[in-house]
Amino acid sequence: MALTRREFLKGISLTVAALGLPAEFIPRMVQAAMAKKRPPVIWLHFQECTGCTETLLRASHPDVAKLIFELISLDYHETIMAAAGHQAEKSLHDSVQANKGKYICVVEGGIPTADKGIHCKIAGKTGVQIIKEVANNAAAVIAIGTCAAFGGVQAAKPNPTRVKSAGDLIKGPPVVNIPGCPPNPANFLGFILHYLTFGKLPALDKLGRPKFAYGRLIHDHCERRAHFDDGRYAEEFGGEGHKLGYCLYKLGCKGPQTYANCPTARFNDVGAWPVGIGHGCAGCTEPGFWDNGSFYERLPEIAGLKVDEAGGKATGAVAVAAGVHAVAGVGRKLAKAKGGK
Amino acid sequence: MSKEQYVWSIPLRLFHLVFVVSIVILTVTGFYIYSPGGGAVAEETIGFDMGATRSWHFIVAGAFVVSVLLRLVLFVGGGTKYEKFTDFAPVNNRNLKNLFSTIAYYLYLTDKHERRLGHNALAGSSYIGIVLVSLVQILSGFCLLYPESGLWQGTGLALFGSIATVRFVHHIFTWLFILFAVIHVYIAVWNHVRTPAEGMLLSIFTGKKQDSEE
Repeated sequence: MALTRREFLKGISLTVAALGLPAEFIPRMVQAAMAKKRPPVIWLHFQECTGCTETLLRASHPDVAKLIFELISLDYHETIMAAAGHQAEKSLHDSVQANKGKYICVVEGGIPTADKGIHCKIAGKTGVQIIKEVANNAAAVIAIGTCAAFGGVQAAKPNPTRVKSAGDLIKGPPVVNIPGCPPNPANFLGFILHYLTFGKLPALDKLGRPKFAYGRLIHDHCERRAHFDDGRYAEEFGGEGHKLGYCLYKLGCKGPQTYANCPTARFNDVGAWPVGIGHGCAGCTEPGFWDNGSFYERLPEIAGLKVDEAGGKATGAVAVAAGVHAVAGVGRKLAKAKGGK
Repeated sequence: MSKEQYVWSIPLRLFHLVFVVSIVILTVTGFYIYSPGGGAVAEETIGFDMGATRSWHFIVAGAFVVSVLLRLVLFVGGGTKYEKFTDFAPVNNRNLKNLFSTIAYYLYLTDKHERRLGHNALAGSSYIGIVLVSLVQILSGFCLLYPESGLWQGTGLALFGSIATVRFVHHIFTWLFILFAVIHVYIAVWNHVRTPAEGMLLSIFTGKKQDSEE
């Protein structure tokens, strides 16, 4: 399935736009994409659902996925490689030996560290071992998806297998986080093209995420923002406000605390994204998003109570205590007055 | 005989006024921002309820920040000696003793109490506490106000771990102000009732207390 020139240019233009670069960069990127030797890429799976790979492969138009596989030499990827068993392990070993310090390692999934890492083993090796042998010898590591970037659902409390993120374990190469559950393939492609064109990592935020994709807040670029500012909210799913497309803030949308380009890049080449189809943002690009409370509440609970219930109860308790204190004082005074007589 | 004493400087009284008024406005607007009630605003009306409430929250927050900074300065100097933190913080023997005697006095365990023109050590500690709570509120507030500034995003992540936690902390700390206000007003009234000659409740407006011998 060869990529046509039209598809190729379309994909590059899309990425240049996603990176926020001016159109002059299109020829530069086209040149970089055609001239450079395709960088070897080793793709590792740990504790995950393979959704990040699936989202890449199942784009409605094949442009993005095809372009990615035209740009890189994917030497090892458990989901899509033809080789199996010892053959597969050999190709992994060969690629690591031949390209030491030159390949890009993509990590998908969190890495369990409890019980010496036995909760995730591939070809008899634990995830921690594979990270040491493969990821630590890469030129750069991409932690794709929230599990690799921040631990994800595996690291949610109580984190029984003590899952760590790729960044926690990898020593040596720089780690770029491309979180999301799943992340937008455009962001992965953007990183690859940026790397090919400029030969260096893109600007990263404090959590190691490329700023071109995770530099801005969802809420500030949301198509429903006008409804938010005007005080129009969907009160319940299927309710009047929901049908009219009002802001999903009161249904627990995490857009105000989540950094991602979902409102602009969108998904599946059809311009869809969660808020656009009427569901609040779950905050999936943020660390610990599983532990930040219900997807349908604005804030987590305290000891099983909603924050304001807890606060109201505490205030009530203090008011009662003050009342008791005052009554005790008055009683004491009366008793004294009586005793004094 | 009672003698009038100058206890609270004008900057301190100004701080108190701005602090109180801004906390009331910030709490009310803050709760609206957290959970906007009152039903959906009709389309094609002037609207902008949330936008305007947020603007007021931010403007008043500016006054709140100034008042807290003013109090921090007065802790060190610039006002009367009663406003310095050495006068009431439980950091020396005199204040530590006063802390325990005040607790006993408040629990009706004793009628003896050290007469002080300024704060007693218990009240003073709670004021230092509420200023610290204010600082957390200010920092978390700025992190939420400037989510795309590297400086504030970095500060939020360093102090609280995630922006979601910043939001959570900013909300639960609001309740600390409410709790503080209930206790503070109750204790002030209680003291006024016990020693009315001192004129405690009025002192925050006039700056003067009666140094009465009782």
